[in-house]
Amino acid sequence: MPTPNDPYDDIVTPPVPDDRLSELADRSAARPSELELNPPRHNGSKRRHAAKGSRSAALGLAVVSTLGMAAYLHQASQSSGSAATIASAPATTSTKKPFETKSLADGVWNGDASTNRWGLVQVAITVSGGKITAASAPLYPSDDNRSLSINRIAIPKLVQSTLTAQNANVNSVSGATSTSESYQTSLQSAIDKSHAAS
Amino acid sequence: MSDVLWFLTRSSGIVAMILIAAAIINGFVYSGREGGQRIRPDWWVDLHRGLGGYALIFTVFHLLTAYGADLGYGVIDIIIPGVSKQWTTAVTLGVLAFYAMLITVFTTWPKRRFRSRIWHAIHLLTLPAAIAIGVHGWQMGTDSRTGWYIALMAILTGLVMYPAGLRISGLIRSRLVTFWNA
Repeated sequence: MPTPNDPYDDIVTPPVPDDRLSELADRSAARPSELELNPPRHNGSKRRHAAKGSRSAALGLAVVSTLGMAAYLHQASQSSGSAATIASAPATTSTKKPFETKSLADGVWNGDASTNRWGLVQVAITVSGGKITAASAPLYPSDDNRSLSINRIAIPKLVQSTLTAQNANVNSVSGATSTSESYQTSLQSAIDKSHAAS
Repeated sequence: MSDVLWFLTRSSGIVAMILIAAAIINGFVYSGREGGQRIRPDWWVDLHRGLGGYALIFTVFHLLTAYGADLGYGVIDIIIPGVSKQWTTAVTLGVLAFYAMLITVFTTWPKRRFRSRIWHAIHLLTLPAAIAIGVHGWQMGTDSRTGWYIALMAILTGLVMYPAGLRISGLIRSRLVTFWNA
């Protein structure tokens, strides 16, 4: 800040004549403004979604991943079940006694509940015309997600195997060995009851 | 139909976890000023908010499909922590983490109404929520013992820890500089 009576005052802050000021103002008005030279995007307003493209990509990727992973998990659960079914079939037939389906009495027969370390398995069969026409498992381990997810896949396979085999010599399902063994035991019990009634 | 929902429950839970991890990584990188000069700050913030919002949406989808898949969880089990009779600890952690996410996301929108320190404290709820989500997935997840899931969790943990370490070390460094200059 210049001191009073500073001899260099005029040098540091020379007085600007009025005509010079008006000339500068006219020149400034004639020159394109900064906004005209570099117009901001979106008419000067702040961009709401600066990462719109990246966000869209992330969302799309997430949706595709969810659907793809669900399909993969579904496929994996089915393929592991069927592969193990084939693998375990010879062992099952070699260790079990021959099963008989002769002279089954018609009706609905509930097998005795069979216990394994995960819970109870009970099988019910419907016999019509001496053949097993339907089978179900009204009782199976479902106390936790893991058991539920395993048995939801295993039980339909075991039921299908029952209808095909027409006896208790059903193929074990991989990952559901305990359920498979208990299912066979309960199924044999139901068949025995049907035998006894015939 | 319930089988489809069951598989969607598993996949959406995993994807939600990945989105949460991505949002946290993004937040640490941005707040630690580790993003470099080329990318504008509003891009980082916008992406961070987007990832957080999508994580919440996928979590809601995860809850809805779990309910629809008839896994034995009622609405009360999903809403009130500690009520579920099966997997009580894991479900409780999941529910609490969901609430923490809700609070974090919905206090971000009116951020300017909060004092910075309060907002920051609320926002840091994400970290315990992320840990709770990890435990929830590990305990309950049907796929949690598979190799690919373990590998995914290891990668996500590493990816989160790296910027978190940078951020923490940056904070310590700045505090030390302030201390020595004072």
